[in-house]
Amino acid sequence: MKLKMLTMFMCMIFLINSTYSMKVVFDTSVGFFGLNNDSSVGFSILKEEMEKKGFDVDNNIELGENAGRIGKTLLKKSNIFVIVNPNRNLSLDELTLLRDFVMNGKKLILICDKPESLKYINIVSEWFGAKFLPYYLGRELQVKNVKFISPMPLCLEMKPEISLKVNCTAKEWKSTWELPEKNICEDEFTIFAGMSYGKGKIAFLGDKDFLMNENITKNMEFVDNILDWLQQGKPNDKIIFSPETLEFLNGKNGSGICTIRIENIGEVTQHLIFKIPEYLKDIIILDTYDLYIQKGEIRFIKVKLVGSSEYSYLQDFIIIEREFGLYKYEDYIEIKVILDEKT
Amino acid sequence: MKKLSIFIIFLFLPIVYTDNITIIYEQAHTGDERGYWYGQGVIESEINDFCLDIGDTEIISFSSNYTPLKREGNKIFFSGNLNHFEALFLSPKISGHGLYKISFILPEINKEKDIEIKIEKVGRIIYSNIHFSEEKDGEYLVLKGKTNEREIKIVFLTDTAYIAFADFLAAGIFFVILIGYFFLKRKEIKAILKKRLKNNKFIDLKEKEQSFYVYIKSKKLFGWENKKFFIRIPYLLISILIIVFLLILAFYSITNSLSKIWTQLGSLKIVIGIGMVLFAIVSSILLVSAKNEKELSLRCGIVGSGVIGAMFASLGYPALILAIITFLLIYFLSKLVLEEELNDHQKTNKP
Repeated sequence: MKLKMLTMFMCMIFLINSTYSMKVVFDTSVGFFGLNNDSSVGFSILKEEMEKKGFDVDNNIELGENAGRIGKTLLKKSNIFVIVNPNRNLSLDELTLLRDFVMNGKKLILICDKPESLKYINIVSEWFGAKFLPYYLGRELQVKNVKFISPMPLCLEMKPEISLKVNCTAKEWKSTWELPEKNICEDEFTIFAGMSYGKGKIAFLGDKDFLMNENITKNMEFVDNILDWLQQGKPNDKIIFSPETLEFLNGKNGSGICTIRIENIGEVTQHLIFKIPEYLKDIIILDTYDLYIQKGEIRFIKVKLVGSSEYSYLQDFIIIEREFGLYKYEDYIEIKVILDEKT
Repeated sequence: MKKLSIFIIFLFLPIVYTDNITIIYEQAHTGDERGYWYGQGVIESEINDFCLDIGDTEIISFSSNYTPLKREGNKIFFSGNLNHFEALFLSPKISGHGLYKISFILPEINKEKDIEIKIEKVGRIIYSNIHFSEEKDGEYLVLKGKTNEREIKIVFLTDTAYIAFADFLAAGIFFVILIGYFFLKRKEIKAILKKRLKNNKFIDLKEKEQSFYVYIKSKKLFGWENKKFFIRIPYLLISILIIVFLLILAFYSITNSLSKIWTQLGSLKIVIGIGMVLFAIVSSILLVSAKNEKELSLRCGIVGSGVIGAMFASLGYPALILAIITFLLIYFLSKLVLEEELNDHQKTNKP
């Protein structure tokens, strides 16, 4: 009994320590500061909020490390290392240290929203297969619940694990201090992306202004999602759809109804969006196209077939887009409609 | 057309406002040594459409409700409607070693500026081109002032450098006094040294050991004598305690203040080394050439008070008072100890 209690106590201590020992270090060697600044344009609320969640947020100066370069001892003390808008070129030694840092299981966040910092940040980001682009996507950009302030898009070599994308028109952006004029293209742009690299993870973020004291309160959920992903990885998101195939026997003017059972056996609340192929929108009708399903919850969706003799045989899919945190996936339910000759 | 509209906007710029500027200088390891990081500044003004001259600074972030329109040299034109603009800026690093110099062009929206500069571990401000009021806030010295000046120039000493500087200055003055005393008494010292070298009688260890042994054995610290209770003050013990205390104090204050800047001293280390050796030689000669007990006490007092005075020189006048007290303490205590020992010696040698 005593041994059991002791083991439990030790486990608790380990758990508390493992949560509290996550050290986030914002690099000052690249000329960034403001974590202790409580003005509207400072970042003290971000620090406070992160510390409330058990992170230990510091910079080179507070750690007594060299404030002018990224060194081995500085990275040794960090679990998550953040570089914001660098104003200098990182040396080959520093780049190698950063790569090894991520390869060995630590996390790196690269943030850039200044065209003036592009040449410096891209030297780092290109080592990890990403590049910040000199495009202006707008002064204020609302993407889901996050309000970005003149964010900078990314170009990625590999498909990221998590990302945040927006459809908009990009303009050529030469300087933070000049209003961009020349339109480049309209496309889907990635503002945030996260991917694994070696044993560690790296996140690229095209805006730092949404983290400022005057903006952070509204955007903290997004920051939490990033930190969750960096800290824990993907949670269990298993959802069971049954049946896996919907089969209808379609009479000449007939119709049919069936129900899809959806059970969330994962550990996160998910947002489901049901998409029917365009040409089937008038034939197959769902009683809801958009729903939130909490963990452990079971929901039912009615699928109604409105009779159509246009097709003697039909096979396609209902696409289910699943979203939680920064993750986005697609699932499919097969639909088969067979014309019943007898009717 | 756009340029014209911008021109018209700035033609009707409103009235007179004041910029509030706050800059913090933190001590940090930069390169291979400890110095100061860049200045971490904030500029704020109650204004809508305006022109910000960034001077020698680099903007880190600015209010989201303002849009930068264009840049002409150091001037950035902003447009907004919040009537409260704020920006974080990075001012240049401070140059120097111990003695530091802040010199750069301030960012400016309006001519009039309320400035607050917080510098970590400042010993003394040597020069400033703007009149600042000074106050302490923990480890920071806060300078506050109002000015129309664009350029800011401040020269200051860090607390460690100030202590070291004051110590060196006081040690130098003390050394000059010691040499002066040595020079004035040179004939007497020469004669006594010659005599003692001839007799080879600097210290009579046997006699001292005997007197100390006798002192410990024969003297009661307290008891009854002639129906009266007495407490005898053990001067020797007190002297030993004071000497040990002073030695510890001297050791820690010298090593502490020097250890912080030792790596930055360069060739000054050799000068300090030579100075210490010279001081030791001069002090030793002065002590061993004392004519009698009284003079030995006097010289002990001079050397001891000089060391203490130099050590605490950064305190200013209190250091002088401390030196005088130390002198009196050493002089009278050693005089008493020597007199007591002499009495003991005479008593034990009585027939």
